[in-house]
Amino acid sequence: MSLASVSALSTTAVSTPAPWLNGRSGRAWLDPRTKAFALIAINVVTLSTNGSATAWTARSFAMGIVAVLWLSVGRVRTALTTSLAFAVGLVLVQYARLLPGQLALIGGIGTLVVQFIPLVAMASYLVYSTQVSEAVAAMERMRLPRAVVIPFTVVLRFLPTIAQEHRSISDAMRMRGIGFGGRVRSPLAMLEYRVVPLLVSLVRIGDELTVSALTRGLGGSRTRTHVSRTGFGWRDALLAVAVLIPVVALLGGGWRA
Amino acid sequence: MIEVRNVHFRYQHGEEGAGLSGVDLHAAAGEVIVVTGSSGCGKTTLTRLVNGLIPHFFEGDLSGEASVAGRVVADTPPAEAADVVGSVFQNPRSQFFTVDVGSELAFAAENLGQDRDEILARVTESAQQLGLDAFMDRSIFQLSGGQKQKVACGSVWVSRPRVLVLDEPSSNLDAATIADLRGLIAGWKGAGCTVVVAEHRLHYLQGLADRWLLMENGQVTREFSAADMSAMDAATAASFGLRSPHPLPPPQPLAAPAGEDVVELTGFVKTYPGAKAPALDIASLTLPRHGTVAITGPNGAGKSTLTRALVGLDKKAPGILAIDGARRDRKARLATSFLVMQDVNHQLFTESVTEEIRLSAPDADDAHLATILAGLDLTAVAERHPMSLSGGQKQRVAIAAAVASDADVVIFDEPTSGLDLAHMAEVAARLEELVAAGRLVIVVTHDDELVEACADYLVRLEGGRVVSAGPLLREGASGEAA
Repeated sequence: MSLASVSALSTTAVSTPAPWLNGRSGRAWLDPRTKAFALIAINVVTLSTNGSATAWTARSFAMGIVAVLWLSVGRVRTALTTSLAFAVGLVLVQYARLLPGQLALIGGIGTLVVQFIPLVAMASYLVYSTQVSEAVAAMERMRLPRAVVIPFTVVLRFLPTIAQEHRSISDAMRMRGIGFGGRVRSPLAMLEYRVVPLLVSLVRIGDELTVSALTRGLGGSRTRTHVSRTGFGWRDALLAVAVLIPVVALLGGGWRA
Repeated sequence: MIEVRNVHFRYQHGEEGAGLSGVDLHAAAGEVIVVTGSSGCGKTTLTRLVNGLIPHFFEGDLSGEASVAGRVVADTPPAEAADVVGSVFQNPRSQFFTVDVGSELAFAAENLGQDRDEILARVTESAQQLGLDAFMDRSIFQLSGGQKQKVACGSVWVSRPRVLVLDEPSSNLDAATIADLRGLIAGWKGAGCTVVVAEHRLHYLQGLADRWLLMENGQVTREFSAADMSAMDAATAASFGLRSPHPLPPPQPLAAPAGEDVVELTGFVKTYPGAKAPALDIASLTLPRHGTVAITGPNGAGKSTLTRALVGLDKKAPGILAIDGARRDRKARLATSFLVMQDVNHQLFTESVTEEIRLSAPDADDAHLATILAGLDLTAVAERHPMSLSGGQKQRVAIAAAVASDADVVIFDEPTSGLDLAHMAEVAARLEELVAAGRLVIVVTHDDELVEACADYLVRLEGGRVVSAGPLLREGASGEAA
């Protein structure tokens, strides 16, 4: 269940972006830089191997923040499913050791869920709620060089493209009887048949994309205008403080690796 | 605005297309010029010269004089030329750089450093004009091909270039979107822009283009005025290798029964999760057993949903296909159907053409495979890697794989988008060969000229339902002007 919700998250995150310009001011509801900071903070909290009660509380708090962020963009279901998966994970972590023999290993799965659900949910929220133009504006304000900014936008553009091309290729493979239960079932051949057409497609799309972007002035000598405005407001301050609470709690509670 | 004098160009890497050998092009403000000719005539190369992709991106030997808005092409890289020249390309899937519609419409103007308030005003105006204002926050990946192409046109127009270059912009569009495209070009012309369109499909540019250039082997061999072109009949156009210069009357199926031997579809219904109305709703449909069946309809009519369901690829689409009395469920259909995809690159897997065919028929002997290859004119490339072949050859490899398989239902998804007259006729001939071999051939297409050339039976879909279905009268190529 938890793995399914993770994959559902990652596909919806790349397919539905934020509202255009976030109202008239053009200023993002949260600055992309704040969201990136929150992602790092949540990383620290969830991935630390600290097993104390404080640490579990800190992780739950972090999960709560992510759930609120998803609620703020109106995605009630995502907030609920991720929180629920997290809660199930917590229960497993606490009580799996009471199970007899091999079953106690389920606790390991619980740890995995508890550590990764908040992370994946936060990363998905970041992608879901941030427009490409916002992200570019924020990165240029951080004075990141073009050599970093442009590849980043290309990656955002390519994730859904890969998913889409992959679907068509899977269709073709099933139709031609390649796959488990099909005529061709050697795993190596299956991998080759999947990867070669995918690469060829992506290279071609990449070329066409480059041509189109060049003719629309990307990489020219002019200073780029940013329609999206970046800047910090009270919401940014609130989020920054909120994500620092569990970090400080963890550090204060003694960092036991 | 555009001054091209005696330009010669040869691509450094020969496979990228035909070069130019002594081309002249002079275009003034407010002029719409159509460049046409069969595949490989050099028309795409000419558009690449105007937007500066030649010689800056596609490298090669360039000689002669070429300038756009007074700037010498050889000294102006495309990203610098972009404030004057806007470009729209053939493939709607690979022309957007950002992910959401709003960001995309602003993209070119942002790159060019134009004024922010002006960009915002123009983005809003463009979105309304294109009927996309409800889609501003939508992911472009969720739009139809037609809507994507409109976003591409809009994004270019927001930066207000004075020259627009379009390379086969209508290839993947349905009739309604082509009409919208015509409207956009008319607007640009009205605003005093110079528009150069390289196209195979000519009819939608009638009454809009001021001059028509015919290219052959990298040279402009003929020029037609607007009056010449509106008087030209289909037979004359065909003698130049051109597609119909006038819109064909929409094919009308006759109200006649499908005949004795029939194929029956029952219960093809599919509703996507979260959608209110079904994307496909065909309770029952009868098709003839022999002949080519064409399925047409606007973008979003349910054609791709029906295609996936018919081939048995959609696990959640029920339906029974009965052929010669044998009822086929989804799994049976998957084993007995072959889909020739619009992008054939997705379905070629192996390292040689022969291997590719063998994948369909692992037990067939070499002589049998050789016959199939010969029948599709692939003998000379039998040992080549399928990905190294031309688009037309790849399509023939996919057809050969269909022929070699035991699939008796062969479905084609848009097999002629972007093809010139000769190649379209070739595809039509392949379809007829498959029909003659006793297979059920279904072709899903926007191309009315292909329908006229080869379809015996027409099914028109709208909103997931069959709005008309019946046999078509076949009289061969008609030369009447509309």
